[in-house]
Amino acid sequence: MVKKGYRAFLVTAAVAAALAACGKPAPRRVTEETRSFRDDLGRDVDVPVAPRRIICTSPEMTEILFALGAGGRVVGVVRGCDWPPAARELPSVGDFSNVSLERVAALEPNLVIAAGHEQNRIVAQLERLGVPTVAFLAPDIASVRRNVKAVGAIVGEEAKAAELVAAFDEKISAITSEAEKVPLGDRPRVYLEICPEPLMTVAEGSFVRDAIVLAGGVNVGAGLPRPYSRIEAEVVIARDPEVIVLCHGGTTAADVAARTGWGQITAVREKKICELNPDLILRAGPRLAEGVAALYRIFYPERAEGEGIGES
Amino acid sequence: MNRKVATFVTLGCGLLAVCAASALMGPGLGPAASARALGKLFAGGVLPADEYAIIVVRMTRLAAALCVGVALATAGTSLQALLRNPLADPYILGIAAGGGFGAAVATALGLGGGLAAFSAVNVFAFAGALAAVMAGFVVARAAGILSVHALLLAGVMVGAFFTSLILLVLAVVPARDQHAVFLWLMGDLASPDITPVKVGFTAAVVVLCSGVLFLLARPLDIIALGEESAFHLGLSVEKFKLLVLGCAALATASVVALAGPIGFVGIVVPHALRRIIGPRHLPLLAAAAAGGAALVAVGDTLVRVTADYFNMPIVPVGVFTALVGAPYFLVILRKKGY
Amino acid sequence: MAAPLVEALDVYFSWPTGPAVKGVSFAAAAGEMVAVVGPNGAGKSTLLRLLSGYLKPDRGEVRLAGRDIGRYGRRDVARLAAFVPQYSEVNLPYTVAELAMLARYARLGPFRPAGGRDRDVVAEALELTGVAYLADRPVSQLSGGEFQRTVLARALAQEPALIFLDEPTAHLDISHQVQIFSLLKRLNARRGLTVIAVLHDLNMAAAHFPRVVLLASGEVEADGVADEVLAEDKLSKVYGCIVKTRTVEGRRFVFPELQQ
Repeated sequence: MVKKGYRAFLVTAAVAAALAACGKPAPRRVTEETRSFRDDLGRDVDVPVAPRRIICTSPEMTEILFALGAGGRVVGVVRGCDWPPAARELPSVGDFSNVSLERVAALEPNLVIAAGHEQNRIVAQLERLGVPTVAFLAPDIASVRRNVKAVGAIVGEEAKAAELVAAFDEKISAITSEAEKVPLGDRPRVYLEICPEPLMTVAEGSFVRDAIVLAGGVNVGAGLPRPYSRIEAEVVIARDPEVIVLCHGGTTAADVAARTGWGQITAVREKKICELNPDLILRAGPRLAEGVAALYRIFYPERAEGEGIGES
Repeated sequence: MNRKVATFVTLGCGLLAVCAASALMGPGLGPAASARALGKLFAGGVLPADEYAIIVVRMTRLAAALCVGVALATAGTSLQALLRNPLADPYILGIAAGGGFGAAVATALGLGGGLAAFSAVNVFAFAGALAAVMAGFVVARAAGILSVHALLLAGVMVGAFFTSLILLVLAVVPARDQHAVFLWLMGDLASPDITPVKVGFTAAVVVLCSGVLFLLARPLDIIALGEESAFHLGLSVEKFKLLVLGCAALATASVVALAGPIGFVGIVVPHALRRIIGPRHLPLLAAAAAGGAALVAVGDTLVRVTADYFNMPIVPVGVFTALVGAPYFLVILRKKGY
Repeated sequence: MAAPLVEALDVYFSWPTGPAVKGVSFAAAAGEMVAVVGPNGAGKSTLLRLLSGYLKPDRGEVRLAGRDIGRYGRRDVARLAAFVPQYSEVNLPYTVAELAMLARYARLGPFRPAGGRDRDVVAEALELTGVAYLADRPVSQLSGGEFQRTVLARALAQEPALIFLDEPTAHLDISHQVQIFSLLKRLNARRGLTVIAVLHDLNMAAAHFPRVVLLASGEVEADGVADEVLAEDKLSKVYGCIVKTRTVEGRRFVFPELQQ
C-alpha cells in the first residue's frame, strides 16, 4: 500500500515540475534606444525613444497622453483615470495613493509616468526595479504647457503637443483678455471649496488658484500657508465671498447655506453657490481650459452670454 | 483646605478667562473689534451681519468645547471611581472606536440625511458608540451581576475590534473619504456643521447625565472602597453601577457623535485634580467639570489663534489635548508612580 | 432563646469550585457574642457573608430580625448590621475621618448633608477604636493595624445593632488585639451590640467569646459554650491533628501537639 502511494507521489511531483518549467518565459530584454530626460523631481532618466508600453499613474497625465493620441500605447492606469472613457477600459494597477508594484511589473512597461510628491515612493521603488519612471509636478497653470510638451517629446508626438498647447493657450487667452477688462475692484471674491470636511481651499502655489485669477476672480484663500489649505469658517465669513464654487460633490448648496453663520455671506444671500465638476478644475491637463471657461461663466454670467463663451 | 479653595477659585477664574478669550480671539475678527461687537450685542444693539455671524460661530464653538469638556471630565471621574482605576478614561469602554466605525461607515456610504438636526455621520457615530458599550456590557454581565473587571477587559477588546473595522473601511474607501475619517478620529471642533441646534441638544444630554453623576457623588465615594464594602455600607451596588455606566456612556457618546473623540481630557483632568482636591467626589466632580471645560476651550482657541498668527496649518483640538495630556501623564508616573 | 436577630435556616451555598456551606442552621439573638472557628476552607467566611446578605444562599433562608434578608432594602440592612472584612484596600487618599463618615450613608442617603449628630457618632467611633489622633491622616499612610482599626471605626459609625467581623485582628499586635476584643466586649455589655466574628485564633475565641460555633467542611460540627466546643476530641477530629487543651489562670488554652 505504502509503496503504491509513494510511486503516485513521485509521478505527480514530476508532472508538476514539468508544467512549471513550461510556464511563462522570462521577459526578453530588448536593448532599446534611450535618451536622457530630466523629470520634474530633478531625476535624469533613460527614457526609451519610442515607448510602446506606458503605464500612467496620474489621471491628469493620462488625459494628456490620450489627447496626444498616444492612448493606444498605454497598457495600465490607476483607478480614477476616467477620462477619456477609453481609459476606463485599461487594466488597473491600483489607486493613486496606493499603486501596486506587482501589477505594474506584471504589465512589463517600458515607461511609467507618475505624479511627483504624492507618488515619490512608488517612483523610487520602480527606479530600483529598473523601470524607467518619470514624475511630473503641476504647481501652476504654465506646468500644463510644459508637461504636454515634455510628454509629447517622450512619445514622439511633438507636433500634436504643439497643437494642444496652442489650442489651450487660445482658449485661456480668450478668457483672460475679457477678464482683464474688468477693473480689479469689480472682480468677485471667490471661495473655491475643494473639501467640505475639513474646509479646504486653494492658495498661491496651486494651479487652481491660478485658474481663478485668470478667470477674473479674487481668491478668498489668498495668503494661506499651503497651496491646498484648511481654512477657518470665520475667515470665510470675514472675507465674505461673492461666489462660492464647490468642487467636490460632497455637499449641496443647501448644506452650505445651512452652515453656522454662513447665512449672511454675500454668495449665500444672493444664491451664487455653484457646483463645478472637479475633474475640469482639479486636473492640470488640457481640460483645465474648460475649467477656466466654466469659472468665467460662473463669475460673469452676463458677460459670458454676451461674448458667446459657451461650452467648448 | 486652603489649597482646595485656591484651586476652585483658579478654576473658576480660568474658565471665565478662557471663555472670554474664546469669544474675542480668532482669525476673522480682531480682539478689539470682537470686544466692541460683544459689548454692542450685550447692550442690545444691532451688529453688522458678518460680525454677528462670526460671534455666533465662535459662541457655538465655545459651547461645543464646554460640552465636550464637561462630559468627558465627569464621565472620566465617575468611571475612575466605578472601575477603581485612576487610569480609566471614558473611551475605555470602546466608545471612541465604536463611534469612529459608525462615522467611517456613514462617510464611506456617502449617506446624506440624518435625524432631525443631526447628520448621518453624527447619528451613526452615536449608534456605533452605544453599540460598543452594549457589547462590552453584555459580555461582562452574568447572572445579573456586572463584573467591573470583565467590563474593563471587554471594553479594550471591543475597542480593538472596532478599530480594526475602521482600518478595514479606510483601506477600501477613496483618498478623500480617508481624509475625512482621519480628521473625525482626531476630534475636531472647527466644522461648520456643528450648528447651535446640535450643540443645544448635546448640551441638554450632557447637563442631564453630568447632573445625575453629580447627585451620585456620595455613592461614588463609597463604591471606590470596593463592591463588598459598598454593599455593606448600604449601596445598591448593581443598580448603581448601571446608572453610572449609563450616564457616563451616554454623555461620552453624545459628545463623540458631535465632535469626534477628543482624547485625554477624561483621564488627565480627574487625575490631576484629584491630587489637589482630594478623593471626595462632590468637590472633585465640580472641579473636573470646570477643568475639563477649560482645557478643551483653551485647546480650541489656541489652535485657532496659532494657526492664524503663525500662518500654520490648522490642527485639530484632539492633537492639542494629546500633546498636553500624554507628557503630563508620563511625568506624573515618573515622579509618583500613579 | 430570645427571638433571633439573625438566623440561617438550613442554608446551602456552592462556589464554582465546589460546595462551601452544606445545610447550616444557626441563630443568634440580640446581645450575643459568637465566634465562628474552624479549619481553612471550612466555609466560615462564606457563612458570614451569607448572614450579612452579601451572598444569596442556593437553598435555605437567611433572616434578619425575623424577616427574609432579601426583602430588606440595602440601606435598611446597613442600618442594622455592619461588616468588617479581613482584607480591605482603599487606594484613594481618604482621611480616617472621611472614611468613617462614609458609614453614615446608610442613615443619610445620597443627598442629606452630614449634621452634628453624624459628626458626633463618627468622633466617638474614632475614639473607641483608638484612631482619633489619626483623624486627618490619609489612609494610605496608615500601618496595617491602624487601617484595620479605622475600618472597625467605620463599622461602628454605622450605629449597627449587629456587627460581623472576618478575622478582625489578623494584622494587629497582641496589645491591639486585646484592645479590640475588650472594646467589642464593652459594647456588647453596655449597648447590647451583637457580635459575630470569624476567628482563626482559637485562644482568642476561648478568651473573649461565650459562644463558639465550630465549622468543618461546610457543616456545623459543634455550637455552644466555648469550653464544650473547644474540646480536645472535637478539635483533633476537625483539624486532623492532635490538639490539646489546658486551663491556665482560669483561661482555656488550645494548642496542637508538636510532630517529631
